Amino acid sequence: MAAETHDKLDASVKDKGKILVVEDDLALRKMLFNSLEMQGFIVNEADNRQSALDILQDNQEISVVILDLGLPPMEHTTDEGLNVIRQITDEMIPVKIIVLTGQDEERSALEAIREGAFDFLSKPASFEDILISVNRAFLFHHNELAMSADGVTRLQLSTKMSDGLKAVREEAEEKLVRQVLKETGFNIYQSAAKLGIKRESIYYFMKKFGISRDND
Amino acid sequence: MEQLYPYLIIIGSSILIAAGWLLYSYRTQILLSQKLIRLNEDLNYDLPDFLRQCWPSLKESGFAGLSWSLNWFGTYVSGSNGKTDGRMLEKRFDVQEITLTVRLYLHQRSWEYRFISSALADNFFLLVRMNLWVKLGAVRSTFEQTAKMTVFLQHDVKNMAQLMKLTAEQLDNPVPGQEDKLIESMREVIPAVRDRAEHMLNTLTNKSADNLESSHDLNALLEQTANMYELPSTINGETTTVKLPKNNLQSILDNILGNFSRQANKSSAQKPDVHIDLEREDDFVKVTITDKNGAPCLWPERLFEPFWSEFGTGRGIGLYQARQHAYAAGGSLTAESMANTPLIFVLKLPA
Repeated sequence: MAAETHDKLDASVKDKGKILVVEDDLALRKMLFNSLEMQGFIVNEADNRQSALDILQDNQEISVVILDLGLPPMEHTTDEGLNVIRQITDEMIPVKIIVLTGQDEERSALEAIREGAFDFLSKPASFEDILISVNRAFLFHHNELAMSADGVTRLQLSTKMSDGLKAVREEAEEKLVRQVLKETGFNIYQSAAKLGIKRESIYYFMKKFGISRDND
Repeated sequence: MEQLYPYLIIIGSSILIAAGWLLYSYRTQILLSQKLIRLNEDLNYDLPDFLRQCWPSLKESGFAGLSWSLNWFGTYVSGSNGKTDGRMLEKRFDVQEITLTVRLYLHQRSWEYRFISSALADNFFLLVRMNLWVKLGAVRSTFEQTAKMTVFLQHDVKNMAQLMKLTAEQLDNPVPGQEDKLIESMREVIPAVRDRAEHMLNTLTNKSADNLESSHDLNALLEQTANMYELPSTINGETTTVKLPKNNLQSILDNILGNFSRQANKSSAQKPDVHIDLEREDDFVKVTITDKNGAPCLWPERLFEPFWSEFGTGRGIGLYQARQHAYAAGGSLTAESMANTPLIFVLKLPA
């Protein structure tokens, strides 16, 4: 069955597909690493938050992260895994995160998705399910890259409905400004042109949301 | 005047005799109270046993009878001794899953007897109340341990199940042309599975290699934990290792730094600036941890008290547990708190 799924994958996507497996259990990490590699993916591995983020910073071709939420030093809680998701979304690293975890499913799934995870798989998941999820993640990632080339930016918002439209608008504004500034390497002129607003407005948003070149 | 002497002597002697008698009665009651306390200790603070066996001491103390009815985690038991009618003192205890009504019957006696009996009854009721809380504390602690073990099993067993599932699927349906690579992969994975299974077994049987005196890089763990809580930190002192189970070391550091993180989030006036100083003292490493921008601690006496938390989300057991781990390793964990200065934790661990 896994081989059939494998066949269904777009060869061009898969051959170039780079995945990062973040898992603290050595045996499971190796198994996932080898299984994905045998399917033609280029796989990187990390066993904690910092090394995962370092790898993502150094390998911008990585499109998909398979993440265990229970990472050291707090293997038995979801805190560290959620921190990884939070940091990836805060730093706007363009990857799709698939959470593969054994932690308290429903609560963890909700939190992970709220923080920006693309998909959630509960351990033990079949390799077929993992492949399907990876395949979908690659597809979405490639579509977003294509959309981005056409000037379309996808934003993920996690504001509560009860906070009202103002909160939604502000979160969207902040994310958009941060993303465009990052894409343009903090070039104010280009960012203003891309967003169709004045340069003064960019400075206004930077001040309003506390955005600076250093912390981004 | 001389005619009054005999009366004065009689009055004085009566006062002396009465005072002597009262002192004797008081002392007798103290001894009987102590007898009840010792009985309670001998019965390991077990409430049903105490209720069943306390009657001889109470009878000796001058009570006419005792009756009690107990709902002990859903099971009803009751008992009675002596005369169970007439004047009585009644108390009802209702704590979580335990309900108890206890009655102590009194003899028709003079006021001084009643006064002494009521003092003894108060002691008896106090012992009953204490036994209730001891039991509930023990139940709570057991549940804590069980919850911890469940979380451990959930994490590790699910990892193992995931691994087995992937392995079986790969063996059932190898990628064509990749059979050699699969065997090579198994050679790499199987020893890691063995190690993981041994680790699980050792943890479950409390024989973890971790329990042996393995050394751990303290600086690295401090840095890792501070990063996890996003606490800007400076570590001063040479790189050092400490000897205690890694899980316990991690739990200690996690609870101390977690406390600083929660305090910083609470005040949000200034960014935290955590300073950690490491100093070697004979066979120990002294770790001093403080947040230079932190607020003074308002409840220093409560820091290590179990089940007390100033944060709504906490169970109030973290720092207590951290202190227990430090002492179990032969070290210590104390806090220094002075008015208008940030809280300082001083941790001593075997090097």
